[in-house]
Amino acid sequence: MDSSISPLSIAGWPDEDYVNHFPSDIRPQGHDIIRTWAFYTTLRCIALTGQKPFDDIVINGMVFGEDGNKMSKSRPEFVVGPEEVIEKYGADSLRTWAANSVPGSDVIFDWKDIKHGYRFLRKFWNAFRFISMQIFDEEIAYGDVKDNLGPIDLWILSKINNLNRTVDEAFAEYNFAETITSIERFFWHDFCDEYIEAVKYRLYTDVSDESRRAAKYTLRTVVETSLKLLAPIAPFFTEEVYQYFSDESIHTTSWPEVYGELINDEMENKGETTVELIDEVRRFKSSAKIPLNAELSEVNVYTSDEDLVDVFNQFDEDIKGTLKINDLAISSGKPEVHEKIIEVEPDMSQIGPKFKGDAGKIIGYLKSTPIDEIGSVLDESHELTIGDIVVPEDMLNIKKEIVGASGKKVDILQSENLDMIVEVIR
Amino acid sequence: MSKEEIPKDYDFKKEKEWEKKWEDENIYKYIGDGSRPRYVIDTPPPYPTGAIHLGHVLNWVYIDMNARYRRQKGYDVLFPQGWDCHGLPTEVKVEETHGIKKNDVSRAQFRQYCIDLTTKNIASMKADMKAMGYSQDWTREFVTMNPEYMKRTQYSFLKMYEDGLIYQGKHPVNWCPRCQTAIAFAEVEYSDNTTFLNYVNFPPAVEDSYKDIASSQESGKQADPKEEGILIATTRPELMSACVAVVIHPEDERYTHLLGKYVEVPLSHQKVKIIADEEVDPEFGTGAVMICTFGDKTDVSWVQKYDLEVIDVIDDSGTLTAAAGRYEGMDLQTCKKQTIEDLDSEGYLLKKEQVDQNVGQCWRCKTPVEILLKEQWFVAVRDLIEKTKVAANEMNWVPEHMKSRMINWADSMEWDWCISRQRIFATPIPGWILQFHHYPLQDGLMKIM
Repeated sequence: MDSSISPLSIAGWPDEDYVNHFPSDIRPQGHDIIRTWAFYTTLRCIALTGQKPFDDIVINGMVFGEDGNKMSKSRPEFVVGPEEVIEKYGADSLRTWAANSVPGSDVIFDWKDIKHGYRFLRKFWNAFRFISMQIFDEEIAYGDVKDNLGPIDLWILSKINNLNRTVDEAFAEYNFAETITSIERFFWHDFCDEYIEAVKYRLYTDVSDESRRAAKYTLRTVVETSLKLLAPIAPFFTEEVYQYFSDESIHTTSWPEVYGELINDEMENKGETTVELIDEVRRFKSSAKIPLNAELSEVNVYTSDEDLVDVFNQFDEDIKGTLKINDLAISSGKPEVHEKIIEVEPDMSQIGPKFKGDAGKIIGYLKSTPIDEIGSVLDESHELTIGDIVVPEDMLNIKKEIVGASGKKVDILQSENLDMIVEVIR
Repeated sequence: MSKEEIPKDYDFKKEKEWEKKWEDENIYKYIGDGSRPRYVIDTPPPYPTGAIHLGHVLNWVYIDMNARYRRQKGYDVLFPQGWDCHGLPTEVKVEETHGIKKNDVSRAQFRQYCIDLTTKNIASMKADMKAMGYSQDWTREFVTMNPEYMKRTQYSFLKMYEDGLIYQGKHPVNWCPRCQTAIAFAEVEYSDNTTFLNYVNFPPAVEDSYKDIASSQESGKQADPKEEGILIATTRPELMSACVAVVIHPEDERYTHLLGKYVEVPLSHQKVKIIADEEVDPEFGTGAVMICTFGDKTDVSWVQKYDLEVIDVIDDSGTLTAAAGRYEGMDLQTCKKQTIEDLDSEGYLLKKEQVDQNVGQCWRCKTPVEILLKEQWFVAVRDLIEKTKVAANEMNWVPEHMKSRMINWADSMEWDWCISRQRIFATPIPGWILQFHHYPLQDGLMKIM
């Protein structure tokens, strides 16, 4: 009886001006009380006012323990209280767990999800802290840099504006899981892993002032916009970061504006393609134990796709700057590479028994003859003729390497996703 | 703030500082002057148990994210918080804490204990909510046990009474013998367990021993337990003393020749007539059913349909009454055990088999619910059901499929909504019954607002 007039009570009913606040815009509640609270509220409000009590009704699921059962006192080991989570990881981490679900679906509590949320906030903090050295020293307006934005800036700015639309729409439709996952995907992967790495060279090396200011503007815009999109989910964290931006609370600011002119699908595709190339070379550096900030003397990209040639030429500076490439060449066609013999040793376990006393001649020949000459003989006839001795190739230990058109040693990377072959000269 | 001071690691312990600052600066206050579009949230008022749990967290994080999002989008958001205070758990807790039964102290004193406990519980849940960062406007808090709220509850009662939507009547109601109160159907939850189906012979009544068997009020005691009459399979033999008829399916050829005949109820010996009704499931048990007042909801409809006698064998606390004869004073479990023993020793019980059953129980204390005939207050739901369904269809349900739960529930509504409760800690609705009602009643109940 009492709780079934809640929307009327909130509106100040039966005072006449209750109509200003009735029906409610939203009734949020669990599915276990549809038969009771939702039903009786509707019935009573119809009886008392002739109107429905609310416009939207958003139903949440139940929470299950890590054992997959509804948390209950009979299985205390699986009951977790909010205070325990807050104590260990903070309320915002717990909120990211709740946010990563959709109305109507039951949700399992898992510490892994809490830790994931916690890691994301820490990642955000570290990224913010890293770029804080750059973004607060001068006020840069969009108008100041809009003609100087580089292709990688236009890529991330298009993405953040699209993200804004996606998250806005998802909140409006109560599709909460979409909000947190798309913010995370963008911030963690596109922004931290790619964009920040791709602009470091513009912040720390001697590039043009315009380019540096464009990078600073972009960094600040992306962080500030991301914070505002994240504010409903992680109010404490976003407030903590936002205090460095403004004296005002982030929770009294407006939803960030969408810059429609910056949304550009073509730029996004080009950016993704470039990121693909950068990742490819970065993975190579890491597997070859080359420090990520070490220079590469030459990188040649070959493709039969003319569009890729255009994209990489457009992002040329960013590719070079991010990967520390001294010379970058983009060409159509295939690389001219071949195997080159660089070392030939006798296999004594075969040569000894077969040639006995003549083995010394073979060793002498291999030691005294230039490797290029031995190589060309082997390439042509697959055996060595030393006087009247013929040594077949399989009695030799032959070491080869791949060389490019210039004859220098190269590493060849083949992309899985793009039609390109990358030749790297260390 | 100076940028050099940015700490190396994010310190979530600072959440407490922001919590305080937001509160001090009242940043979530609802303005309400219409300068911005309004957005009103009908926040659930939880039962004040004293602590929030993760189920609440899921519910309120959704609410809070939505509130914050709408504020950012330029709305003036009214995000209140209420507390649904009244109910048995608080009474039980008070009894435990003070080591009393509710009738040991005055009603006023007992109510005060409940208010004190509830006030304390609200305070700690409020602190839990603030620690979660929820952005309610706490100046808009509502508490169902406070006079301002109770006034609205009372007024709503009065208005519906005056509109003829609320009436007092004697109807079968769901009754919790533990809580000793009527409860609404929606408060009955169902639980699966196993029980025994007892196959009991109801021997033919010895017609000659009655002057006129149809109208006779005499008990039987003449029938021979071993004489084959009609076999009843029942999970509730303890209600046999309230048996008022035996019912079979009209097309069940095993029994149609017995229609209109009488059998004698074992142990309590009243004679009852064999009648037919389509509702009987010939596949269940023996296909013959005893109607008791009231074993279940179907019994209630049969009693009404065939205008059968009502025998009250269970009192408010679930104890057998004088109408139960030799079982008077027993609780239901003891009576059941004793009845089965007696049926067996007196030769009525043919066999027992284990069956699964679905028992209606009180949602708060899990005690099996009984159906008792009680003088209570009801909302006449019949005329409101269609409008309620129309309203449900006008709402935007997220997710959409949840709507059917409300529609199906509305369609299954057979009884009026019982709204009175036999409680101390509840909203009192004062009413006066005039003994000499020769005067036309102008205002119905006394005006309270």
